[in-house]
Amino acid sequence: MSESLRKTPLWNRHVELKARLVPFSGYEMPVQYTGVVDEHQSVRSAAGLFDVAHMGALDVEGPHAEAFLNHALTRKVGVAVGRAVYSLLCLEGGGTVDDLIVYRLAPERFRLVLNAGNKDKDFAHLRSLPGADRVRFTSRFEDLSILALQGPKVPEILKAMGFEGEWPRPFRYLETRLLGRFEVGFGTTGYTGEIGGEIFVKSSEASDFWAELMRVGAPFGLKPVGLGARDTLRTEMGYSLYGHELSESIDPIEAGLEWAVSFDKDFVGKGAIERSRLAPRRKIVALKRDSRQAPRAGMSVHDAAGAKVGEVTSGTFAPSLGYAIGLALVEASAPGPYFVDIRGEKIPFETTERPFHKKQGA
Amino acid sequence: MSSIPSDLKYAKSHEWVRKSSTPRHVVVGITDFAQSALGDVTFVQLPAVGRVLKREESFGTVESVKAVSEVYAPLSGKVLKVNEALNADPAVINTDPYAGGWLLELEVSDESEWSALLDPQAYQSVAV
Repeated sequence: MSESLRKTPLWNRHVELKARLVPFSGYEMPVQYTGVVDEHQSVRSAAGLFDVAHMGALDVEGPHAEAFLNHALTRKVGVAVGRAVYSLLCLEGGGTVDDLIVYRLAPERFRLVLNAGNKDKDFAHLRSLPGADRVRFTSRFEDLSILALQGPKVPEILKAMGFEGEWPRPFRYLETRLLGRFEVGFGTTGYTGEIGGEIFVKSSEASDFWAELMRVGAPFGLKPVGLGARDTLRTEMGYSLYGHELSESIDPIEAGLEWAVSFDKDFVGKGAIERSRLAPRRKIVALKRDSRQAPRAGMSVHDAAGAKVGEVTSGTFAPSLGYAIGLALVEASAPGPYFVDIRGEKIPFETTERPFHKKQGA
Repeated sequence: MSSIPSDLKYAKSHEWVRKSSTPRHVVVGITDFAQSALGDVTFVQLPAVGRVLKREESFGTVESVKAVSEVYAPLSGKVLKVNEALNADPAVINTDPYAGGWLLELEVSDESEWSALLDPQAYQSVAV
């Protein structure tokens, strides 16, 4: 026990709320406040507030920023100002360094939001690429904090905070504005499948902003949400989590993220990813079973003859569905049906499509 | 503070034991401390009725959203009954760990093992 855990600017709020704190990507983070299922249901039915201040915002600017990012990332960043895209950062060999959101803040200014556990590695990787000396990087890891506000009641809550106008479509970035007495920027992005946003606020004001959101949002059913429900929410949507469905040994094709790759441009890893596209070695499959017993990451996956064909990458009891779901990385040639080895017993699972959770009435 | 009823006995592995009205019959569950540490219970796997358990043998699992925990026999004996209601509503273990959330009933085979169980005061020092 030597490594000391870092704290986000919201740590005191979590302690006040009597959250259960756990180590996560080098930070001490809340895994739950009231309970995973309750928090999960709050996000699906009302709204939830998440501390994602451990994630890192990195601004990339300059006349060459667009060309640099188009070469660094799998997906074209040439969207209109005020839009966001989900993209991947890959190695020459095709393996994934990180998955991220790119916001186009201005014609020559982009903001990347990086996973907490990868942000330092990503920054070093980006700086090592050709052309890095022709763009300006500004790490916002310390001075900006990100809070995710997710759920169907979010537009009403933000309206009560002073947000004016129509609620924007997903994957937009709204330029810096005042929300109450706080200057914030926000993207209509998130990882829960619900509408809402990811809000950038000065780290020095993050704790007060959290308290103000909770005060205004409470009558709408807003609750703080920890890492536990964050994971069940994203798993129900079948979204990839770095370290599970994505890693330096898993390429975007294997991860089922071909849609996040623009093959009509040159980028780091393109050759390897094109080869994988023609002849993928493995694939992520979505599994479900009418049972409450969850598959868990690391459990082996077998074919009908009993041969091991892969491993579960994520799995949980799905609170919105009432049954067990999972994602597994299996040999591309293994057609299924698939069986998960749960403590020595090979349990049959049904193959399904992502997302597991389909929006009601959408 | 988790609740530790004074009329029960406990195992270090966080199971409770209650004597039933029938001699040698006991009811077993997991403690309030254990359910709180696990969080929302989503699945329970219990042994077949009739199975003979040795003290400290794992007899099943209690799963929460985030964790899987084994449960151990606090005493040796034969499984007489299991709590079938937990299949449909395992969260009763969270809301009512000492009554509705019971796991199984055992016919104890070696009554001398009783003395190895912890009394509430001794369990209190384990449940931290």
